[in-house]
Amino acid sequence: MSILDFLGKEILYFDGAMGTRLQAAGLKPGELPEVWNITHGDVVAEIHASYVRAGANILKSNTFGANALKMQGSGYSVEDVVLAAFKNARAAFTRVSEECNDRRRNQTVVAREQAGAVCSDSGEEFAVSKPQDKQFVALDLKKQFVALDLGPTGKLLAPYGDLQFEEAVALYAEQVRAGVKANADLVLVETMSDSYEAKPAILAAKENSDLPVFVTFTFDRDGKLLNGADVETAVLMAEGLGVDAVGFNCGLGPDLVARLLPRARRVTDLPLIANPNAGLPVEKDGRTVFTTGPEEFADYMLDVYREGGAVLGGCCGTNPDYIRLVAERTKGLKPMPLHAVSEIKITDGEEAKIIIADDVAAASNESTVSPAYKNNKKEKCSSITAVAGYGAPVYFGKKPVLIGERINPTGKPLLKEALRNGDMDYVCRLGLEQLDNGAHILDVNTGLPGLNETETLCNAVTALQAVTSVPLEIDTSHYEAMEKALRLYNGKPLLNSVNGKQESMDNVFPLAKKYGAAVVGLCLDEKGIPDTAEGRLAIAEKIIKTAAQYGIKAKNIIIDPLALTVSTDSRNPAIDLAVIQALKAKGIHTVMGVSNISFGLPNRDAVNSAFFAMSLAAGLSSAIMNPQSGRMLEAYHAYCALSGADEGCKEFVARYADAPQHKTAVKVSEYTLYDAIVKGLVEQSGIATKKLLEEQKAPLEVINQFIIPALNTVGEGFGKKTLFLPQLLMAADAAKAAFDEIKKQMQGTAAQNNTAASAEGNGSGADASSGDTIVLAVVKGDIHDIGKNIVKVLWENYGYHVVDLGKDVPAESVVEAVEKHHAKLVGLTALMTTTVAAMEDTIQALRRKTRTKILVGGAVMTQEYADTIGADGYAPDAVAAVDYANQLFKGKGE
Amino acid sequence: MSNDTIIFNKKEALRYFRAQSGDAQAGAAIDVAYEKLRNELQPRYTVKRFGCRADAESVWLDNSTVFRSKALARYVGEATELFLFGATLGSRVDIALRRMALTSVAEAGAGQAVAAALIETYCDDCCAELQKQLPEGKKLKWRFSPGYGDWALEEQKILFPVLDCAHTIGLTLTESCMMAPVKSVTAVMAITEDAIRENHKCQYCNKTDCEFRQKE
Repeated sequence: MSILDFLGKEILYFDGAMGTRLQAAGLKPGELPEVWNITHGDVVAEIHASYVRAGANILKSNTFGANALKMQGSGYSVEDVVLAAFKNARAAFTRVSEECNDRRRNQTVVAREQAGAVCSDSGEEFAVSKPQDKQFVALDLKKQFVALDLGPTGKLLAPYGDLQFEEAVALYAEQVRAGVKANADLVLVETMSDSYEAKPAILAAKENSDLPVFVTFTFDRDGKLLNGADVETAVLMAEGLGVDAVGFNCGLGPDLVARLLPRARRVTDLPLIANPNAGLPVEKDGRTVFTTGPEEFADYMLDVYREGGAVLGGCCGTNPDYIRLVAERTKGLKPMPLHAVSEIKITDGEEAKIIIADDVAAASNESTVSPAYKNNKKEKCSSITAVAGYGAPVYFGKKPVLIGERINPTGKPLLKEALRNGDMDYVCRLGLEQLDNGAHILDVNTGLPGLNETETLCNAVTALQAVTSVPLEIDTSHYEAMEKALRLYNGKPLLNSVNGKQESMDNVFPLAKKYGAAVVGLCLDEKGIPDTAEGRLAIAEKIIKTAAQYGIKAKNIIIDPLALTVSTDSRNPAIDLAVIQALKAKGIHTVMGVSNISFGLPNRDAVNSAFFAMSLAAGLSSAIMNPQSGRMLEAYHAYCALSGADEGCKEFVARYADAPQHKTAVKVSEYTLYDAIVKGLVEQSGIATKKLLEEQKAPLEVINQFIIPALNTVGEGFGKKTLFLPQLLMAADAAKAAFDEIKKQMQGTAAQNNTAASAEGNGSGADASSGDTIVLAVVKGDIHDIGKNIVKVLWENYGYHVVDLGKDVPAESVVEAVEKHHAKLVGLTALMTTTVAAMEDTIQALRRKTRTKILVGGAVMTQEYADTIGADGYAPDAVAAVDYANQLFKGKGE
Repeated sequence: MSNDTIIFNKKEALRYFRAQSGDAQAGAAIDVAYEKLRNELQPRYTVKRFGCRADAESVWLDNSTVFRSKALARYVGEATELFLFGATLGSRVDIALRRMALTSVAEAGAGQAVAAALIETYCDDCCAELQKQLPEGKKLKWRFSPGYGDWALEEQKILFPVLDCAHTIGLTLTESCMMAPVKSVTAVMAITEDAIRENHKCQYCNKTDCEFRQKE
């Protein structure tokens, strides 16, 4: 029988700790526990058997770290270890069954009665115990499962560490294939303290087997994983990826797990697993000690059960006594009703309040449920719509959600150029600006003719997720880009979009299902966009019904009624509002690109903000909009205050009470630009630059007469040790602010001259024509980039066009960039001794194919070392790097 | 393991930022950086105790682990026990530092300095806690990390599996022996008799031109 026949219908029991028990049996620190499957098979089998005797019906195979990375050099293959692990686990079941049979044969009726054993002559259920045990626990031969246990790889996934996503999938896939060969009953992905790492493990299980998949995460007491994901986010992601059960293990004791369980229950109706530690681990004298005894553990596990735990077991510090008591205390209980959760009250940034529904109250202790909770409306958790990155989720259907639209190259020449240059820092800055202005989700669209969209979209998603944990909306109609981005995405994605065309649904829904995305459904099909609300609703219905055929629930479809401009047909706004209202009544969430309504009209902000307020009032759940638009934000915050979504108008007051109402007077700088830069005053620098430009100074004059001399002064002071690192960095920021101002002006002029393309794309360096190109990289293997970033800004301030390849850059990428940009200079940095070899390799690769000059720097580098590895120059600091470039490119800054 | 709070030592942060005393602007930058980092901290540490012995070139742990380094051997000296120690501020700090680097190099520099001060303070706090647990007459020596003196960074590959810090505190090692999260520390701490006078830690380091080098 499959474990799914029992899952959620009755309480199932996992075993307890393996690792801590192997240590007690002599496993040394640093020794691989998995190798004991082969070298000490009998010890492993006996530990398993002890749990079977205690009542466990799911054994975790001793394969937690049996991946190719960890098994390297052990002398055993992954498959050897996994097969041996399963042999031991099966042997344990056999051993206990035989003990049972022996016992049955030997036991007299009298003894049986005395012991009070649960023995069945049907052959299915026996009392088992060792002779010294006083209490007997039932053994059900139908329920003997061995889970292929998959622990973390021991590496951090890129972009947070150096393990590539597909490498992680491959590592887990190898384990899963071995598990299938060993006839595993299920896959258990466990001790995931990084929600992102669970994803390749789950995908590997799904792509290489038909086995049920369970996942358990390791949270801290605040309900956060090490990567910052909270309980709801981790659970939503796992549910989206199609796991059969989800829950908690390790890290915490059962008391704290019981407190976190309701947070899982409110976002999923999957059966919940709890394998806590024997209390919080405490370091005592360099040794880890667990503080909760079996009795206390079992008491708390009753709380865990009441909060919805349907699969119970233990982790570090537990032993068969713990499992036996848990099994006894919960004997005969059925899992709590799955839907017995509640309404979520979402307040921005605050913990949602959990409201326990009446049926939970009935099933659990009535007195523990406060009357205030009971009076609240019930809402099944399965209807909750939410998406997530790796922080807290964003929920639809309560406070309206703002989706920042600006990462979309349409009509944005600077973004186009950045995407063409692979300048993901620019993309990230666009994202962060929108978040600063209040966006909850960032739309990411990188579709540009002539560009590899798959690569660009994946790079953008990765770069953004390296700096922010908010959810992203993956916006593409390119199916390959869609799949790759959904696959790499860290969290539960929002996908933009599917539409009513069969071809669209055929392509998008399988991807949305596999990767657990919520999908935006556009109200258009083969016949175009209907000009009636009924027509659009019919398409919405078709999309939702078709999604259901793929197993995608309605909660994961968010309908876009499509705003068409009012300037061509005055009925257009009314159609949208009618669609929003009708869907709201059915509990379907909506999203709309509001600003399309004003296309072709003057004063678009006025029209947009009025329509935005009307749409919100009609029930719009979310808007794709420009968070930089003050009018739109005003409409949004005013609506939230008026509708009660912003309780007590707190946010509205916080946002607008102290804000200047109208800026009329232009602030006059008290500093010259030169002084502002030398003193490192960012704001003043921008103001002074603007003033100079308004006085009709040419950009090049501003640069040569003010910015460069100021930077030279700071550089010289730094060299003479009269100025120090903070001043150098602040001056660099101030100079950058000046360049940004110049760039803005040039952009404006270029736009006026209708020659926008000629004036952009050279980083902060204002004068495109003078920008000699320098390629800059932190070498392969090195992830420390602070020094590189400082050099970059300084070079840009001196007008160079810096192609920043980032960190951990392979030699071939450096060569490729130098060839592509015809760069005469390359800057390479390395911080650690271990990566100096990579620097030497890079230099050799450059020498073979290019004639570029090579400047090296970084904490570990010296002039002597630079000479040894064949660099042309050595820069002990950023100022020296500027001097080198200025000398090379002649006369700059002189 | 985790401690809930780290007391922020601004003076140390300013020192890492290479600010001169009385630099109000640097002080303000450090304050801003701390504000942006404080809610991202998820500090954790793990520690394991071993019996040990040292000869002229190596240190041997009682689980048959060997570290090869003359400087480490000199540091361990006559000690018969040591702790392996690992601590991290968590990966969210790395993410916040990347975010800061996107908008301002000064902020990024200040952020690095703040994070460096925080991890050092955190390690000091953890060590003080461990010292308390030692019996009378035993003293915990200062932290000696891979990369100090001639102890090669590559030996992190030996230290990490023994400490099991990826599993316990999420501290991992990249192929090129960088720690991820970046703001992390691994170290050996010898347990000595109280009476032994310690050499100053900078005396073990060959980098004589280091601007942070402390005189004895």
